Amino acid sequence: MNAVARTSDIYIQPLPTEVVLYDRSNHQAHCLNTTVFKVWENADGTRSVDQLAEILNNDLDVPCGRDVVLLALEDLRTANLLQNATAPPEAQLPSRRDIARKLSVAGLSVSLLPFIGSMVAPTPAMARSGNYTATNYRQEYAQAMGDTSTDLKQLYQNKNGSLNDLETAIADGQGGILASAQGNQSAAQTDFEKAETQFNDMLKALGLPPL
Amino acid sequence: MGNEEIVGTVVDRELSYTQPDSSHADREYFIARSCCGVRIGLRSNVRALLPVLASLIPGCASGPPVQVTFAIKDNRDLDTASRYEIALNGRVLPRRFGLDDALHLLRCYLQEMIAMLATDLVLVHAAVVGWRGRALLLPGMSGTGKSTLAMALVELGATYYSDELAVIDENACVHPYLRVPRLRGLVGQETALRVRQLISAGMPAPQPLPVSLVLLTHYLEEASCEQRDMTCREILFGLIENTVAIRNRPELSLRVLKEVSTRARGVLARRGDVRFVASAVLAMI
Repeated sequence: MNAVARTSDIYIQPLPTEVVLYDRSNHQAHCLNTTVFKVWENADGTRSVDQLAEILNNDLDVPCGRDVVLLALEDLRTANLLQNATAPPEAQLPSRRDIARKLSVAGLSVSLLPFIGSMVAPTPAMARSGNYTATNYRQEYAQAMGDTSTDLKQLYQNKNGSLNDLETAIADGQGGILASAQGNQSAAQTDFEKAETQFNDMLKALGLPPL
Repeated sequence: MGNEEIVGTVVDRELSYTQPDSSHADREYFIARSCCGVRIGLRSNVRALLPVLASLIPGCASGPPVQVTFAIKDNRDLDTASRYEIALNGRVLPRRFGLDDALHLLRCYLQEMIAMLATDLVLVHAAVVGWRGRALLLPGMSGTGKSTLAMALVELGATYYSDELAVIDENACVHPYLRVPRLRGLVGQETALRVRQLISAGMPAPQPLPVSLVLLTHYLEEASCEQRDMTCREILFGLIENTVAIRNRPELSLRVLKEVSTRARGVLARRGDVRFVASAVLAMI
């Protein structure tokens, strides 16, 4: 199956030597180097890996194109930038080190090696100044935890691992509230941070953005 | 229920307040502020809170029609400190807060609303100073020492633009956001006091400046100033991480941040005490 780039909910912002794709569906920003962007740009479902490799050969003068394309497709799949993301690569993935070596031997820059840098865009609360922490807004945090856990319990009731994480997170959060009420801010901070980490781990496992 | 327009500029932007007045419990008071082209109405049933509300964001009293209204209500019937309600355009948050928390939360909501509504402007959490016609951005979360460093730079002659939000336009120029600086430690308090007095005295807003340097720095005890230049991507990601409304306005945000990241130099640094690194920072601009 030929790869198809996911273009819906994607906003493109070119940089001088890279391209940033902002994914509205999960609020992630991905910075693609030229090699990966060329693959993403041309992966329209009609082109095979060999054809994509030929495009790389022509446009970027990358001699080990096929391996590079496979690696780029895997990076794109991981970043959820392909429509048929569940499809495994058609061949075993080449090693990044081997491709780097080939590029070096050919006198080409290793910067042509496929690369995607990703980050999750912050929510306003995450970006806000004023140390918006669980301890500062424990009530709001507890409320948010409660609301989210109710939703998640309904949505993911069959995923036991995530549910266990969730229960632990809630227990830690409640421990933090108790410690805070008792005036032990240090213990409260520790509990809230643990709860936040576990909660975010659980969300990550479910493929959701963090709190 | 009578509304009362408070005329005049409130200049004391400290989060200090008088004890709420128990009289006129049934009245509601109103004030409007303009910030970054956004007109915000602020309501309360406690008259003494109006100057405090006005101090939550810099700006002026005049402006276009009110676009959004926040309210803070004191439920005096409740025998608890957590009796303050916050409402956005009439929609009341489902919980009550103590006054300090309510005001802090309201300030955060105000910033978020401005970030979402300001036309062609992007708000990034950063301290900003001007130096010889160019601007230095110090993005960072709270507690990274950006305000302290900004005060140290002002002490050396830089112009204060903000210690909290960088207001950036599509030409990568940064506009002043003249909030009273707030410092956690003792370093820089004298300078902060002078800046506070200037703002209270109606300090004229400085002109927008092109961003020349983006400095991502954090304090490490005993560290000397270790630095390296950042790539365009690193600058962009560093800015995205601190952009208030990136999720609501990704196109505008990325367009503006791209301009900054391609035009300005970016430096990543670990630093020691600001008193020893401030002049080195100015030399980078």
